[in-house]
Amino acid sequence: MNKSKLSLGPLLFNWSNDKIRDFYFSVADEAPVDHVYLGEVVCAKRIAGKDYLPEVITRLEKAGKKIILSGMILVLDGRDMKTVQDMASMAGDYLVEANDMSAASLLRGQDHAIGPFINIYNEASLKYYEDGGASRISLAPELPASSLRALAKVATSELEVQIFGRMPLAISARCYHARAHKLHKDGCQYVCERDPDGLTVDTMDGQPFLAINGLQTLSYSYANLMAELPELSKMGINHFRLSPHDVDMVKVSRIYRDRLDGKINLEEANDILQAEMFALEFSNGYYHNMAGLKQVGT
Amino acid sequence: MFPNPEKPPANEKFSPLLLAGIITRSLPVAPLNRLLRHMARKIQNNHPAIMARLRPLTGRQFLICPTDLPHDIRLIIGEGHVDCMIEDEFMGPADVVIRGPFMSLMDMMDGRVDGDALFFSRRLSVEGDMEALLTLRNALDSEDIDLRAEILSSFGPLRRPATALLKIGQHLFQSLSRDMSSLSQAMTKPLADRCDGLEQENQGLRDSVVRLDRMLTKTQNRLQSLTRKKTI
Amino acid sequence: MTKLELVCPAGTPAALRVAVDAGADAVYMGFRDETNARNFPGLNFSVDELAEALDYAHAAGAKVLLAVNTYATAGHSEPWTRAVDNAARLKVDAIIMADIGLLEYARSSHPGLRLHLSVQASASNTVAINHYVKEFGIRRVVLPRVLTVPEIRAINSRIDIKTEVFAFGGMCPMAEGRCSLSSYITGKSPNMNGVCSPASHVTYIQQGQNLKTNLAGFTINKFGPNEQAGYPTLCKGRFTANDETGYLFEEPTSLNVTGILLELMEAGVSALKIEGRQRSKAYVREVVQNFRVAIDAAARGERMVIEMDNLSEGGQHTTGAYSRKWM
Repeated sequence: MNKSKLSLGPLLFNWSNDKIRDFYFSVADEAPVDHVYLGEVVCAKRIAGKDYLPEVITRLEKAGKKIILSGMILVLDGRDMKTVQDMASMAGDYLVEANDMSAASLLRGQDHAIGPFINIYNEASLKYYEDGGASRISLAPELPASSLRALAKVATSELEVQIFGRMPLAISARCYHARAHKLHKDGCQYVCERDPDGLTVDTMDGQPFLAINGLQTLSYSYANLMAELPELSKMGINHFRLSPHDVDMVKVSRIYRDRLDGKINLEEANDILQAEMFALEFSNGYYHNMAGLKQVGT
Repeated sequence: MFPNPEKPPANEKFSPLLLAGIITRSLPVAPLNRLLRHMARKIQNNHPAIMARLRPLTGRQFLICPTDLPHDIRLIIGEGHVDCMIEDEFMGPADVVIRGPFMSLMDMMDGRVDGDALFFSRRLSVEGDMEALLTLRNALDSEDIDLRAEILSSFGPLRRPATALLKIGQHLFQSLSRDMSSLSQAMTKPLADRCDGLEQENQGLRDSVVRLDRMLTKTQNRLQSLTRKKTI
Repeated sequence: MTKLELVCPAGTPAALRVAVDAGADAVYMGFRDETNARNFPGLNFSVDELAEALDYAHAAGAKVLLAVNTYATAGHSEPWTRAVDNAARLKVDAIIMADIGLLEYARSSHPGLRLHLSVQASASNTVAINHYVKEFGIRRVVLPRVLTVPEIRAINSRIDIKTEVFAFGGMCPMAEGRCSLSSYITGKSPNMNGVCSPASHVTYIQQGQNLKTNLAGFTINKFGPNEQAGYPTLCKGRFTANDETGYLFEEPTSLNVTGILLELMEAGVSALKIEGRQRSKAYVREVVQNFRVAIDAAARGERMVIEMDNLSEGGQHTTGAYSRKWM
């Protein structure tokens, strides 16, 4: 598994400019990841006042990390589209990841990446994007092993799967963070800043099961495909995405790297990860063709 | 049918209230069961496409409980046929229980009223296997069944002398309103309310036990993982 | 301005006849399998039933649109391509699709087949819509329920195809075709299985006069005595965040645009879609009749608000994202 590459997915949460900069500096200096996705994918409003990108890109590139720019998930004409167009215009300098059909359309014919928010459920769809120049395709967390295997069998692009972090489940025009604080989206006061890993949603019986992040809804549980890594490699999937969280991501990435390199066994790897993420729940149900929140094995 | 010269409207326009009356307590169950059986057979013969849609339900049992009548109806989906009978105390638990006012149930099965809307408004309550219920609802809705007509025509070839039924019908027609009101009073509302309260309290306690249990397991797991970590 | 086209749901052949008789301009339905987004038990059409439906609808001058709007499964896409082949063979008036691989298949295998882009494709902007037009020759787009009326007007001014918008019934607060909430809890999703919060995972618990709805072991809602209920759909449940319990995503409610038909016409919308293939023919009859009246009135420039809250989830209605205040 040691030819496998680790990547750090786009930051989904609305951290402060300084926190983001410090985070990526530490990633540049210490995290054993090969690719780093950058860019705001959830809400264009969050981009205002953020100027970390040039500094962070320089630092990451200097550390030998490959940069991929991620486009927005839900794109409406106007402000959202402007960010997508700006990003697509950088396709010559960086690999750009489309997360909406608008970006995929603008990037078609050039080398680009397709993100997990573009629906690829079958071979014909995969081929459509590959034919359009996608060299790197990150698949949706919802796909079971049987689908991943079938896609990997025919893929000519590099396939990626998210192996760590809360899973993106939905996107909306409505801001649930604002709604939870009885605010309107237009006067949201950026309340999503307050929850660096998303705001936990419990059932009326107190069972936690979702997390909201502005316009986005995430799983409460954190995906952990540690046990599935060998099988994924065997399928021919060699890119593994870690979705950034407000935990020690340097340490988290080291655990996965050490496991991929065979320096620690599965049980050790999961024990260290669980100790690091003390109060959290893990899941791998989607991979095993079950409800996504289920945890199989371990 | 009801060849009653004194009440000609009953011939032309079958009143569902009449059926409501027929299913009342004072009646012997046997003729009712024959009626229900015959009606089920008629529907299954006249609407073969419905039977195709019901195939996934083979073996499923539905209990239909008109809340304003004393008898409940058991519907059993067999292989290529359906059985319909008055519920008795020796029958096992049903897969699905549907409760609602008799008229609402009739209107829903006839496709006159939207079942979901009845559910939203809480006039209808359902419990059990919801997939089975949806299959049944969708199957019945997939064809145009006039339940009232089917029931009415079911009376025709009954082997029992028509006079027996006629007698019953007349009696019911006369006493229907009285029966209905006494029946609804017989629902013994105060008692029901008290039971509701107790049941709610019970459920609340059950819920919190489950919750506490879950928290305990989680804490234990965390402690275990910590202990494991320390021993490494 | 031309009259709005009324596109109506048909979960069963009986509902189709009801819709056509009640004045539908077009009826949409799916085959009885996972190739459509209302893959509910006992619902939908066999190939033979679709053939009969075409005869019935065409005799009354109504169009028939077939929804093949889920995403084909990797290694198992035969049911989807077969559905497209059957649609072409039976000469449906259009096929409604979302899967890009399937659009590609339809365009290359059946170039004469008219293609509509399903709401499940979530084409929310001009660039995306024009991409589908250029690549697959789609003739109509069903707009995702994330757009305001002014945004719809702007899109219509920049595209050359017709737009269809949702007008009544169940309403996803999430962008359609991009939601895995259901599969996270139940293992079954709209995209892969054509179901959301499926009945097989629903339990209703009557606690006296109270009703508790449970989805795959999670309490989705609790309704007090006589409180209007809704479907046990995940996004319309009551949840707790920040120590406060309520309808975090959306209330049990139904979309109803009878009050803004004039604005939708002015925004260049061509067709209105009624949601509810899973509903009974009683629902179809009432909603289609009312919309027939409202659309005919709007064509004369008259505004006619028809509530129909008796058919709505939670007994209330909304104009959803069409109005910015919803967001």
